[in-house]
Formats: sequence, C-alpha cells, structure tokens
Amino acid sequence: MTEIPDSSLFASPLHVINVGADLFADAIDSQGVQVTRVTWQPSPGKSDAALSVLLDDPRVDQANQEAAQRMIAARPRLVDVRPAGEVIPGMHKHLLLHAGPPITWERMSGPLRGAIIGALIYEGLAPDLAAAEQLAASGNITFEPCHHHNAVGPMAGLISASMPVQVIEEPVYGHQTYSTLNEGLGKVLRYGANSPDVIAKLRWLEQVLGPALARAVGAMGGIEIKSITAQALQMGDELHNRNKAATSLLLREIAPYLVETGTSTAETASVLRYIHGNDFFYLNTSMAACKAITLAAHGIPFSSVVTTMARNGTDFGIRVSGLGERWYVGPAQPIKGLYFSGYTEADANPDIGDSTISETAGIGAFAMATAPAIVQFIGGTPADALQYTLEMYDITVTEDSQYQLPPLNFRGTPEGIDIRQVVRQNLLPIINTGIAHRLPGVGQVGAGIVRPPMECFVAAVRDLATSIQDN
Amino acid sequence: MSASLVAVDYSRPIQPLLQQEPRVATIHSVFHRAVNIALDDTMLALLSSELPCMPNSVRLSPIASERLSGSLHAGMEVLIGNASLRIPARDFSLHLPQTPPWEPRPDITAYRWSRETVTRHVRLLAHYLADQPQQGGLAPLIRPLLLGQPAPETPLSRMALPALRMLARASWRQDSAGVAEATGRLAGLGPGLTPSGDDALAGFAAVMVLFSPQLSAGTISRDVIAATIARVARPRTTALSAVLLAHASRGEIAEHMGKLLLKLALPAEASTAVLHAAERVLSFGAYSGSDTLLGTLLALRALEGDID
Amino acid sequence: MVLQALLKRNTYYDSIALMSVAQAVKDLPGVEDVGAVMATEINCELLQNSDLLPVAFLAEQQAPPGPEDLLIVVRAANEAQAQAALAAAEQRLTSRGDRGSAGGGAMLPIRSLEMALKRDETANLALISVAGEHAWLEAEQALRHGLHVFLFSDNVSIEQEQRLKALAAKNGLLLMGPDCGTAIINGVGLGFSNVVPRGSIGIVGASGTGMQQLICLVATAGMGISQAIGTGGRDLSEAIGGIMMRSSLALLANDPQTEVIVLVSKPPAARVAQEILAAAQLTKPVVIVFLGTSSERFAAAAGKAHLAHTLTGGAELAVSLAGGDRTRVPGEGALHKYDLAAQRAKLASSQHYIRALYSGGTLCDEAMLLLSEQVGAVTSNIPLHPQWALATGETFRGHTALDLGSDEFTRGRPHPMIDPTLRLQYLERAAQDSETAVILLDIVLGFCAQSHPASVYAPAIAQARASAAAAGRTLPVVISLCGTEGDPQRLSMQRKALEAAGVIVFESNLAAARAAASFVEK
Repeated sequence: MTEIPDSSLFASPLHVINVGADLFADAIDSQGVQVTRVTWQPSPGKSDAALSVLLDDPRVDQANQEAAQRMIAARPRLVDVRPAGEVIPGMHKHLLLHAGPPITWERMSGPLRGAIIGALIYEGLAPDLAAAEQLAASGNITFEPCHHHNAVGPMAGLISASMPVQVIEEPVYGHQTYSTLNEGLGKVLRYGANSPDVIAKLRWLEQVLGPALARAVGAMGGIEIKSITAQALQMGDELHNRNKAATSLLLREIAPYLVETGTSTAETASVLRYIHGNDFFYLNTSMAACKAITLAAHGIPFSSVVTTMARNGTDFGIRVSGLGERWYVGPAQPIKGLYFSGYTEADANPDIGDSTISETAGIGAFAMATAPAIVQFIGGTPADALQYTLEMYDITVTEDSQYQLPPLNFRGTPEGIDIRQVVRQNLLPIINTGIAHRLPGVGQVGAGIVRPPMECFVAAVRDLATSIQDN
Repeated sequence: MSASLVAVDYSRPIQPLLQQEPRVATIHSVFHRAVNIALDDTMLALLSSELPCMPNSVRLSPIASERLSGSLHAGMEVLIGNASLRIPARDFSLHLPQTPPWEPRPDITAYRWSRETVTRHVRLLAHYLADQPQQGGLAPLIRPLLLGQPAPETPLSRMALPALRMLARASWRQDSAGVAEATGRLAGLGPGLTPSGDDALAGFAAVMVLFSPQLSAGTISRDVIAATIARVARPRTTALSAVLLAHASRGEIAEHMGKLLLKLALPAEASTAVLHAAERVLSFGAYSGSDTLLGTLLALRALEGDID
Repeated sequence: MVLQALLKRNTYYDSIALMSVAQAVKDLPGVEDVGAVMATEINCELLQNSDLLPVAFLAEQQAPPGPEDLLIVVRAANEAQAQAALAAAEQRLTSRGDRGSAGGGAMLPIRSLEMALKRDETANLALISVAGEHAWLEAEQALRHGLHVFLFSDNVSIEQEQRLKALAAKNGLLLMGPDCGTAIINGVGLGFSNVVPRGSIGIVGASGTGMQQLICLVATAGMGISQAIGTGGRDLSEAIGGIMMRSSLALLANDPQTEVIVLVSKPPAARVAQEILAAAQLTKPVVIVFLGTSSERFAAAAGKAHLAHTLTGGAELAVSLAGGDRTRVPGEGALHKYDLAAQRAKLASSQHYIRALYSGGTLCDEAMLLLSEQVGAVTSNIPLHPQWALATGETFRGHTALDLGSDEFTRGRPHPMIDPTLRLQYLERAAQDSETAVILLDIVLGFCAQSHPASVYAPAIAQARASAAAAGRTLPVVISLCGTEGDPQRLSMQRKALEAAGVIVFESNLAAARAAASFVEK
C-alpha cells in the first residue's frame, strides 16, 4: 500500500530551512521565499548515531523536564557551620577532599599540591613542607573529590577534617551540601599557598569565624540562599567572579545576629571586618547552594542534564543526571582573558576549581548579561556579555524565572545544560573564572573565559545513547 | 509537538473535572506561559510552573509550556478526564502527578488571629501600596479609602471610588442589596484582561469568606456576601474574570495572595516578611496584583468597622 | 478631536501587552488619549466618561460588543493621526513579542535545524546539502519534526536511504533525495532548477538534469509545471524499490492542479519498473521516460501509460496530452535551421570523432544513447557498455562522451554547472586533437548555476576555433542549451552570445546529439 504524502504542502507557502551551502539558500531568497539559514557544523566525535537515539526518545525530554523542575523547586538554606569531620559523610583525618574529578598525586598541578601540603601541616599530620610532600606522595593520605561527599571548593578546593564548613540544607529533596569559608584574596590555601600565615588564618577561621557564624545562623533559623542570589543578580553580580553585592546582602542579614550572639565586641568586629573585606565571601555559600540545587536534579534515569562541572587543575570533569556517578573527563583548558600586570599566559595554571557548579546551576557566566562590569576583568565588551548568556539558552532545558536578568527584559537564566544540544550544535557552555599562577602559593594572576573540552560531552552522549538502547 | 508529560501540580478544585470520564473542552485563549481552556461554565488554566499556582491551574514545566503555547490556538479541542488532558491535534497529553493536589484555599483556621496585629499589617500594606510607582488600575484609590488622602481625579477613579465605599459599608452592615449594587458598579470596570474592578472584587470576596469568622465582631460569617458578589458580577464581565471570581467567593485564590494572607498572622514586628510577600503579589500581571491587594485591604478594613 | 476605534472580538491579549500597547500609542504625535478595555457595559460607560466612546463606530457593528471583545479607542487631534495611531496599535498587538530577543538576539547564529524551527515554527521544508556522512541525521531530524526534505547530499548509505524513506512515508512527508539536484514545489525552485510558469504538467524524476530538460522544453512550448518532485538518483534501484516515485505519483494523481504526469529516470531495476508501470495506470495520463530502455522492454506492461525514450519525446507527449501544441517543443525540427551538410564538407580528413563534454549526467546518457544508435561505440567514464570504458589516463578514444560532473571529476572542486574551469581545459584539449570533428557540450541555466556562462564559453570557443583554423581545421561546436527566458541568465541572451561565437545552439539535447552525429555519420 503506497502511503501518500500530506498534500497540505501544496496549499501553503513554502518556508525553508537551509542546512548547508549558502548557494542554495541564496537561490531561495532570490525567489522571495522565506529561508532560515543554519550555521551548520558537523557534530564532533562521530556522535551522529548516538544523537539520533537521544533526540528521538521522549523519555529523555521528560526526564530533563523533571530535572529542570527539581532545580527550580530546590530551596537551599544555610543552616550551620561545623568542622568537616563532624558533618561531611565519610570524612576522616587522613582524607583530603579536593576540587574536580578524581586525580592522583603524580598528575596534580602546582596550586593543588601546594594546597595539599598546607592542609597536611594545618591538620598536624606533617611538621614542615618537605615532610608534608613526602606524606602526600606516600599513599597514606587518601585524595577524593569534594563532589563525592556532596561538597564543593573553589580553586584547589581543599577540605580537611578540622576545617569549618558551611552546611547547606535543602528540605524539598532532602540533601545536605558543604563548602569551606572563603579565605579572601592573595596568598591563600586555595591558590596553593602554605606558609605559616596561611595556616594561621585557617586556624582563625576554625576557631573564630566558623563558630561565630554558626551561632548567628543558628539564631536566625537559617538563611534562604536563592533569595539573596536573585537580588544580587539584579545588582551587578553573576555569583562566580562577582559576589560583592551578594556578600553585602548576606552581611546585612547576619550582622545583627552576629552582634547578639557574639562572645565579645572585638571578636564580632573582627568577623564583620573580615566579611566586609572579602568580596568573594558569598562565593563559597553560593557554590554549596548550587551543589544542592544540581544534586536535586541528579540521578533521574534517561536525563541528559549536566549536574556537575568541575576541574582539578589538570582535568575537566562533568557528570550527567542519567549517567550515575561516572565522570567524563578531558584536559582542563587554558583560560583566555586579562592578566594582572607582570603576568602572562606562560604563568597560568590550567582551569581549576569546583566553582563551575555555578554555571551548572544556571548562574555565573550564564548570567553574564546582568553583570556587564565583569568585562573589565575578563576582556570583551558589555555586548559580548549579553551574547554569552543569549547563546546559552540554546543548550539548556529551562529558564529559571527565580533569577531574572533585567538587561534581557527580566528573562530567567538559562538553566540545565543538555549534553545532547552541546554536541548537536557544537556549542560548549561558557565559564568565566579566575586564573591561578601555575606555581603554588603565588595566587590569582588574572581572569577570563574558558570552556570545557568537547570530549567530555561526546563521551557522555555515547554512553547515554547506549544505556537508553539497553532499556 | 508530540509529547506525553506529567504535570508539575494541579489545583484541588479542578480535580473532579480532571478525574471524571473524558469530556471535550475548547481552548479559549493562548498566551506565552498560559493557556485557558473552557469546559462547561468554567475554565482551566494550563500554566508554566514559572507562574504561581491558581485555583484552576494545572502547571507544566517552563519549556513544555513555551513549546505548547507556540503550537496552539483558540478553538482547538481538548479532551479532559481520566486524570489527563489531551490535545489530539498536537498528539499531546498531560497526566496528573501522583502527588496530592495543591490547595488554593489558605488554611486560615490553623493560625491564631489577633485583630490588632492584622490592623497594623493592613496599615503597613496600605502605605506600601500607595507608594508603588505604577499608578494604573484601582490601586491609587487606597489613598482615599484607607489613608484619608485625596483621591486621584480620573474617570476611572470617579466611577470606582463611590462603588468601593458602598461595597465596604454594605459588607460591614451585612446589607446584601447594597453589596449587589456596588458590585454592579465595579464588575467589568477598568483595564486588563481581568478588569481592575473584578480583581478588587475577587480580593474582597476572598477575605469575606476566609476571615469573617476570625476577625469580625460576633464572628459572623459573610459567605453570602461573597456569593452575591460572584453572582452579580458574572454576566457583567469577561468569562475568565467570572471564573476567578467564583473561586474567590469560595476562598480559593492565587498562590502568592494566599501566602500573603497567612503572613498576617505573624507578629507585627515581622513587617519585612509581610512586605516581601506583598512584593511577590505585585510582581505578576500588569495591575491584577495591585487591584486584588486593594480589594483585600478594603475588605480587611471593612471587617474592622464602618468606614466613612 | 477625532475618535478612531478597533474592535477585536473573542481575542485575548494579556494585560501587560495591552498596557504596553496603550503606553506606546499614547506617545505618538497628536494622540490625546487611548483606551484599551474589554467591552463590558460598565467599561463603555467609562469610555464615555473619558470622552473615548466611539458611538458612530459601535452603531456600525453588526452585533453590539460584549465582555469578551477588546475595544481599542484612540482620540487624536486629526483624522490622519488617529488612524496612524490605531494602525500602530493593531500592528503592535498582532506582531509576536518575543521576550527573549533583547539586544543582539537577532544576530545569534542558528546552530541546528531544531533551533531554526524554534525561531520559525512555520517552516515546512528542509533543504540539506551537507556532507553525506552527516546529512542523514539532518534529514532524520527534519522528518521527525514534520518537515518535508530536499536532500541534495550524496554519499548517504543505502541502509540510511531505506530507513529515511520509510520514516518519511510513515509521517506522510516527501524525502527528495539523497542525491537529488532539482525540484520545484509550489512554483519555488529548489536546488538546480529553472524559472517556469505554473501549469498543469507534474513531474517526478530520479534525475536532476533530466527534469530540468523536461521542464525547460515544456515551458518553451508555452505550458507550465504544477510540481516537479525529485526522488534522488537511487530511488528506482532494487534496494529502494521506487518508494518515493510511487508515493509522489500517488500525490500528483490526487493533485487537482496536475492534469498530466511525467516520470523520468535512467532505466530502473526490472521489478521496480514493473511496479511503477502498474502504479501509472491512472485516469490522468502518465508519460514515462525511462532513458535507455527500448520500447519493447516495457511495452507489454505499459497499459495506459505513454512511453517515451528521449526527454524531448517525453516533453512532446506531455505537452500534447495537456492540450498544448507539441510542435512548439524545441526538437529535431530545429536541425533544419543550420546547413550542417555544408559545414561537414569543410572538415579535414583527420577529423572523424565526436567529443562530448557534459556537465549533466542524464543529458550525457541521452546523448550517448542517441549517438551510439547512429555512430556506434562511444567511449566514456559512464559507458553504456563496459567495453566502452576509457582506460585510466585516456582522455579521448574514438567517439567520446564525458560526464564531467561525475564523482571522479568533482572531488575537491566545484561542479561544472557552477565552475567552468575543468570543462574549458577539456575543451582546449579536444580542440587541439586533430581527430576531433565536432565538440558537443551542454550548458544548463537556472538557479545555482553559473551566472553568465556564455561570457566564459563564447570567448573560449572562439579562441579554440581560431587555433583549429590556424592548424587548417574547421571546428564545429554544438551546444545543448537548457534553460528558459525567465532564468537569471536569460536563455535568449546566452544563446545570442554563443551564436555570435559561431556555436550551433539547440534547446533540445536530442537535437544537439543528432546534429553532432550528422557531422560524422557514415
């Protein structure tokens, strides 16, 4: 039985989509017929067959909608600050958590090694730098990703048992996530510095800042994070490289309670001054909240939404909601941006840190349109900032109206990266980040734009297609 | 479009419509995050979950909502029933989730109410509304009604102010005829797809039903006032407005308004929380939020006592 | 003071849209006030109190407006301003306000077919020409999203073609291709195609230039094309089984605009040919041009179908069945215009052979079939018989017909229909060869083809003839010129320029081949 095509084509004006040579589109155009031109690129990594499976299966779209809904519905709250060993599941004295996917000592970059050495000294496991280095290489210390313990850390992202961590509770889906207290700029542990004053500051965080915050947050009954983030996004922050407004809002909320629960005026003043002096203070809180948000969307069968993006200074890794705990890794990329005077690309470490959890949750570089001032640090123009955000709508599954961007007519941020669309359109998520010096302990040398390596997404697409076909 | 989805949530009052045997409904209007579907003499709203829950809503994820809106038009058939909503022409079906439906009637009785506290919150909110920059709809009338300030001189204000005063007075006195007359002067009045007058009436009616027992002297029920408002307004206004008024007359209201009303039970010092909730009410729609808030505040004032 | 009003019944706009329209219109020159309200009784009273009630306008309405109707009223200083303001209001309401397109959105590249569909949901056809290795995915996505497909790409595997054509059939869609060069849908040329009037003749073809020849001959005879559907070069193979040809045939059978159907292809696999012949037993007349088949092969099964074995023959049949004058189809009659015998007499004794340099594969086939009937063996890179194949490194041997659009010639370079470089090289070689008696080539006009071929070929041919003359040889050049007056290149203009260079021009490929044969026939 010959099936007859639908004759309604003959009754309607032709509207053409051109995929390929402009020669054909031009000919259509010259006949006065509407033609939309696709700027076509082949999908990388021979992924056509896998994409065909994933784009066709309605279970993937449904799963992604569920993931998006969960990210939107999650309600992370800062509820406590406690030593990592007391709250992080599986934490112990000889376990060091770090940013990014799993990595061995041999492959680690300078800043990460420097941070590990510092942490070992801080924990009293080694008396000096040389002993710490030996211990680190000995195999008697376990290194695991923060992500494996529902934690996140910026740059080297070191968490050791005695360090105070912020506890984020997410009541809708029942998760707890963690991150350290931000140390500020300059020579700090997360850039691999490990001198005595770095250790001393860590001690102060543990003994003074941590407990003070814990008391204040406890008295408040917790702080809703999404509300601060939403306001900060309309005040010029994008919550990755710019956190000034959010830090100010947080300080405003917590200040009276710090005063009321403080043990002495001097101590409270030092805490307030500390937060006031650290424009990045809110970053760690925001990261832990983003971790809770993306965790809510993780583990949905068939979902192609990215729930983790993280770097360890050597590798860039992603994890996908429907692909369990598998990491998909590729080389961490060099960052394109502006350098502080005296530094060049030759000084730069490859991309490092868990802070890309921000973009994974739809903020950070994805919200760059609302933080045009950032181009002063990363290069480009405010028009570029708009463009970066606008492009991300094409590779995400939803728009989150809890985070509205005024320069885009209050459109919600693009949220929920879809690996299928990254590969199909050959368009990688955008990230803006600080650049660390490749030698431990020097600190930040610039800031700029970077993207993940495409191979992560290609490998994940292949695996998801295989797993779908097996079901 | 071709999809089979599960809704994010749905509202309790429309549960019977959704559970019964499938019946044919028609799409009434399509907007970029909302689709109104007419069935019998009521309407269902198919909303993006970016919008707050409504008493007659079924919500779906934002991307599904956007895609769906792009492919629908008024007049299309929708089959509703057996826990699902199907649009045959688009091969689209939406199924109810297993979770319990959303309750649009705020649980006023679960809280302890203090008249003094509510009065203070009402004053606070009245000032807040008066200070809002956008001066369209009926919200500017908060000044003469609750704050003793002069009335704006526009044709809309001149028509609406006496009617609103009459509504408040007649409600206090439980004068049904007066309520009917005032409603007749407000239903269908003003700009908006749901005209301003209707939104104010909805806010007013909801408060009468929800708070009358708690806040008025002698704990008199004013359900009949709310019913009168809905009945008289019905033929005088748009179908969409009439549906929302009917819900309001049963105390069934939009999500953010419900949350705001419950915040009135907070101690007087919790002004920030109350104002935040009011901010959310005002953030949706053009004047709908502020007009509804006006009606709500007027009703709460009317429960305190006679106005002059 | 003038009032203008607009009533939109049972139309619903959200309040924010109405508010912004009202604000925008209020700012227009001369506008005093604007009302945009649902026409409830009380709102009419409001409009009256605002001096905005359009009494006369409302009186004119067939039914008085009600609460479900939107009434927009503008009060302005004069008639013109009021009307302009109202027009602006209506325009703003009906244009799609896309919230996301603030600043730069329009400039963003569209990176996939699905994204293109998001921006234009009214799209109904995808034109795909990317590398075959990837083209199948594009075609698949297009079909899944309900688009008809024109698939120019080749190097798509047979398995993919089978799968895609099955998907197209299931979804009631056309998949024109893979390896489809030509189509005309609703009068719009897709790929390499020509400008012709709409009319009653419908074509389904597995050959691009074959379709183009038919289309142009039909147009020159004063008739028109309803639809020309390409099926892709491999549709009539055993593996594919003619799916697209059969379903397109059925589609045109039901199309009220189509009165005569023409099917064109190289000889199909036997089983497929039988099925197509069977499907062609319609009430509407069907002309079948299976090039290279002698009538006897299918005559038994032809039934009601009219068989032709040349494109010109097919065009003549179609025109006549459609009620036109078949003598107006350019054909062999044109041969009389030239005194070919006299030109033949001037050939030198060394000049024995035809050298044909074709850009269109089907036109080359047709030429070879006709030539071989008259002059015997014709060597080629697409030989009619294996023993007529050219050896590697051989340019010409005896009578030679080359398809320069074939894969081996187009690897890494544009097709000769677009770029003449390669063909000009072969032209020069043929002209220098003392055994060449006549050079035959095709020039195909239309969309996507070279913009002014005569401006390149005429001088090159004049040059070649001059060099041959210097060596004591006349060099006749025959061109089969396929095109219409409506094409961007304009048939008459190309023809004039070529004739001025001494070229013998025919619009019918059949006539051109006959003319070339007449120079060497025994």
